[in-house]
Amino acid sequence: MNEIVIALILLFNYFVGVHYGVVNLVYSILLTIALFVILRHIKRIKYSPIKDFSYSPETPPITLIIPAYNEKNVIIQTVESALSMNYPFFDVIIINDGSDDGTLETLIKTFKLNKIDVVYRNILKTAPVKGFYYNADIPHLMVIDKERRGKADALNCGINASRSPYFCSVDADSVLENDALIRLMAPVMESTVPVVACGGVVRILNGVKVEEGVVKEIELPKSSLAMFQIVEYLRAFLFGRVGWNFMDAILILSGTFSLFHKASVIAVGGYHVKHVSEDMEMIVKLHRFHLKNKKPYKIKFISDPICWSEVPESLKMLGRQRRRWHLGLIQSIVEHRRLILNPKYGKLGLLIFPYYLFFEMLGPIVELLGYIVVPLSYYFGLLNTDYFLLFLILAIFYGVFLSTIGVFLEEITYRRYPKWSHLFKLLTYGVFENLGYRQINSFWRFQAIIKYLFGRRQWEYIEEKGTNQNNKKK
Amino acid sequence: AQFIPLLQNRTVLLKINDFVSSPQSNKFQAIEEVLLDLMNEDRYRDEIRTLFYKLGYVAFYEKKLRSRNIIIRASAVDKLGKMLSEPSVGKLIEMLKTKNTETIAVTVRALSKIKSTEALKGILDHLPTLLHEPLIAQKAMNTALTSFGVSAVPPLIEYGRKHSDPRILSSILEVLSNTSADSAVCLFAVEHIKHSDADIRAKALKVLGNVDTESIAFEQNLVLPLLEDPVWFVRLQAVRALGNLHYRKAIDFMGGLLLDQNWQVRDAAATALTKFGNDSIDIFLKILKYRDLYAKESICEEIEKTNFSSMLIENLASENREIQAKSREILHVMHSLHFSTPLREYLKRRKNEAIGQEIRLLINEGSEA
Repeated sequence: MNEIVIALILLFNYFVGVHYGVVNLVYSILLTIALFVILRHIKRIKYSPIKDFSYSPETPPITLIIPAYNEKNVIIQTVESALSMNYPFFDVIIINDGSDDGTLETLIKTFKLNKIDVVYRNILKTAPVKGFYYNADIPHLMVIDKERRGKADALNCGINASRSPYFCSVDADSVLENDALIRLMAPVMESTVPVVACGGVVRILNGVKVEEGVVKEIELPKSSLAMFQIVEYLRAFLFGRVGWNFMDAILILSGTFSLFHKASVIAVGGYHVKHVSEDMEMIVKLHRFHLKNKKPYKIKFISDPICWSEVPESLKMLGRQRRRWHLGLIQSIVEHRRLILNPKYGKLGLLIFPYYLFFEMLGPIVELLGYIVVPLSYYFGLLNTDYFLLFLILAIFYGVFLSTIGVFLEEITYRRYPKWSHLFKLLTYGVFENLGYRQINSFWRFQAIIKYLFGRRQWEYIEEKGTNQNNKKK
Repeated sequence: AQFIPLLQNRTVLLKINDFVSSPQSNKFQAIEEVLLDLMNEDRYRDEIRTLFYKLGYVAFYEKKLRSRNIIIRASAVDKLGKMLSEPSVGKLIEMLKTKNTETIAVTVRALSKIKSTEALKGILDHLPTLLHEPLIAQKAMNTALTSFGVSAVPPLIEYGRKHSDPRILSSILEVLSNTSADSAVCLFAVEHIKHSDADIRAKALKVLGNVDTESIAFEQNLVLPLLEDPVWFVRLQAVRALGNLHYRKAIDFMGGLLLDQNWQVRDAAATALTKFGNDSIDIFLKILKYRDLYAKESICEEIEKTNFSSMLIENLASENREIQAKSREILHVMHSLHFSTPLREYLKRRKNEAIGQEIRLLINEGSEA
């Protein structure tokens, strides 16, 4: 019996090694691709048609849809940033999703809105709409007040009210850069294959100075947790998404800042109101619909349009967010399990979805148990030193390498953090990210799996405190 | 700072040796940036073009066109376009023969910046291949062709008459819809409103909607049959065009589209009819008596959004009793469908007390009902 148990423990140890080996191999491939792609993209930006499209009548209208629930502290900044876009034809729709903190009143007062009468076409069925608010002096802004039913429902409401062929979902605590929309749309206009979704980069607003909805000075946040997230986001966006995009394998676009072709979204039934992480679900649905119907399409990620967004600065709130994200991932994979290893869906079914299932969705179980079992196995002499060192390299030190490369990638390309002190601080956090922060993330994701298994699949609300202390209001 | 006085005095070419530098040196790049910046000012453009040529920039980038690296090639094309280098047009047109979509997109843009007749001809000669394969997105091509401006219109029309490819015709009509329509444009559009392709019919109508009927005569009733087109976006463009043309004989026909099965067409019809002022009142009243709630709501929404409601409210004080009564009736229906905001806003402003009293009466009647 003891021998069986030891054998199982050893088998698990090797399994952990293989898991980390495969994951690190995938990340290495993504990193290699990203290095080439981003450097080439930086050169391409110099002859980008952005300026031509920014005053062309061909540039399609976009509706910026901003769902808001209890965002009183940050919503004005977001709306000001949205209204200042350098884009020829756009409008902004804020959906007040049953806030009880005065979000609607703040909007009405700040923008001097009046109630108007609008025909609401409930194409994607939503919770009842209570009113529409508008100011003729700001004709491209509208606020919709509706009963609370969550972000997905609010987005569907915005889609119903939109009259543009494209919409861009934006989080209520975000600040868009002035040319973000045109940078997001330019590749869509240049593509000879219809682009049904396109995502940009989300960067962390915490610590950044914003005046009247415009980013004025970029500084790093004081919060360590926010610093870890900066490193994490740089890695995720600058090499993760770039790499997946090159392979035409984008499965997630951040709901904080993504552009969609409205008719395609309506064709797949809009956002799923029961999903806690509606952004991934939408992308999967779009893939599935177009592959099933053999319609040519692309889903893209572009690394230069930027949206700055607040991130949680407390462990409690961050934990809620990460659990929700992982729960959303699980829901999407389970909902679309027919894609797994299904050749009818090509690359999506045979490679991408299985990767997400085994390494992203179930990965936290292996990782968390690995952090416990492997060291204990070494301690009790079940593993040799070489193997334990290998585990440390794969599980921790290679992660340090990837995080610091992500920071360097930022430094040699967009360099949005201008000071040398920023670089040193980011590198330091890149190292320490893998000594505690990643592990706690694995724990939260593990918690999400447990929650899913025990049927607790609700949205965990994150408080927005308007933590950007440098904001100046009108 | 060095350049501007020389450009103003038109002595820059005399001092040209001061600005010569070896390619890719810092001085070379710095001067290039400054000159490209100054190109944005019309008054210096010709001198700067000459400077680019004489300082060797054009030759430098023309050599780069032969590079195998797509980015280097595309960069060079882009620079030649920004330098408005007309002598390079022939070489740029050769770039259109590559099958690389990136190079082609940049080349088309560069040629559209240069805006010469040869550049336009080069694009048009390759247009069938470029759109058919496709090697360039239609919107990107349309943006470039629109950049050529009014001077491109006659060659585009001539080209459109020689080619029947729907994609080409669609692009040409789209570009023409972004220019002010003269008689040649109008004639070309009229020739295509009966095309078998719905997209072309719609775009031809879009062009006709821009025609200034006071200076250009055309048979506006040719558009009427398209109000019954089987394709919704053709009907939409037809009703928009008739609204823009202020063709009063079409009012009753346009009114029929207030009951269209497609909501966008209904909305467009309502918006178009609001442009006819009091002449539309009868048709609005007629449709507002129908049972179709969607149609009624669409009308009310458009009346409110286009400010037609302001005219209706002012009509409450009209000396023409008939107009007064009909306007009142429409406002009554709007109020009953909860489109009351214009009435309440007017009461807040209190411009005309007589009108205010009429509105209060109307609101009270509505409440009692």
